[in-house]
Amino acid sequence: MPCSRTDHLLREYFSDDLSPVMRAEIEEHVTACADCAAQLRELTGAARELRRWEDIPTPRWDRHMALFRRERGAEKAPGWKLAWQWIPATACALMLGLMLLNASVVYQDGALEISFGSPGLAAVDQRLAEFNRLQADEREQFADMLARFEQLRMQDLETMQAGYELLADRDYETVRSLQQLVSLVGSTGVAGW
Amino acid sequence: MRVSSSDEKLVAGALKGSARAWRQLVQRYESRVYNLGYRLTGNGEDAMDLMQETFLGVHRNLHRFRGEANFRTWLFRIAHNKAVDLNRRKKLLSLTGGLDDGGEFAGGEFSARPETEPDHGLAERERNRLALQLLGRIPLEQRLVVELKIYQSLTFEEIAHMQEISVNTAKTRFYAALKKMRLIPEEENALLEN
Repeated sequence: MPCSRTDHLLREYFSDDLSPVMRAEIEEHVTACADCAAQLRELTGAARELRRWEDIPTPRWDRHMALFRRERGAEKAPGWKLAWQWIPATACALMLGLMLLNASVVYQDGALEISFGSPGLAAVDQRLAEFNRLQADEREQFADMLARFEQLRMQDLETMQAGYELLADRDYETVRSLQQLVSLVGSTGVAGW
Repeated sequence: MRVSSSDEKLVAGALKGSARAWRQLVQRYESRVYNLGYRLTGNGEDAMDLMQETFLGVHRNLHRFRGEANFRTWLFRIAHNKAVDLNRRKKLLSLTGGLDDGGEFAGGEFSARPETEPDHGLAERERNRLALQLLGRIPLEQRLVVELKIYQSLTFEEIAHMQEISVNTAKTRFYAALKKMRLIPEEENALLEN
């Protein structure tokens, strides 16, 4: 004869909030009731078979990475990395700006002079005249320097000539002294030898 | 819990645009979701569809995840809803009958398309075939309760909240499902012989 308590007791038996007292009561009843015991065996058998499932390997898929990158953007680089990436771009932009504004940077008289735009023909002529004047000054200074070198060379030659003459005079006096000594020795000492 | 906080970190990272965090999050749960899909649908193609739909839902709603609920529970709630949607479009795993009556999955899905699970051995496939046959006896609403209770270890309270039913109804569905799946003595003997 079917047990009238089976459904209620077994439903509670599979609860996750079953108290120890309730569990003991159900187990006591199941031990005594053949119908409940048979049903519990069948139910736990089914649950056991379900738990024997072996996980099937997941096939390869893109994990929505393309979608993620498209909608949320690529992975952000650290801040310092982004800062370094901006340096070449900034330098290029700066150079382009200088070119477009026709800017010139000149170091003159110990100071940096930055000017923008074309200097104009009058300014170019003025700079050219200044350049020519400087060139002429440099040529004149070079000629003066050459003349000075020539003068110094002539002075050196004269000094050398005077030196040689003095040396020749001394040599001449030396030779005469030797001749006198030889003649003296020849006239006085030959007899004694 | 360590796992939960780690999940939250990955969610936060993904919300900031970290592709790496998103990949880790998906990798962590894809196998569980795929196998959930396989048990609910009974075939690899639908399982793959369900998994992709689930993670698409996660991606679309990631900003709504506030960390109040467990990420795992939140994920399975999405998977649950996607399975219900999929069931409306297709009739999932509708099988009735005993283990030996040559139903839709008797000797069917795994052995018919072994290329789907190349790493699966014969014994594993046989165990899974039996589980699918048992699951095929019950309707989707009960199958979902069994899935969440037995395979995902959710409490009846969590399942009830997910299905918007009372805790008692969740318990009743689970018990009713077990009764439909119970092994009659002949079936148990056949299993013991195998």
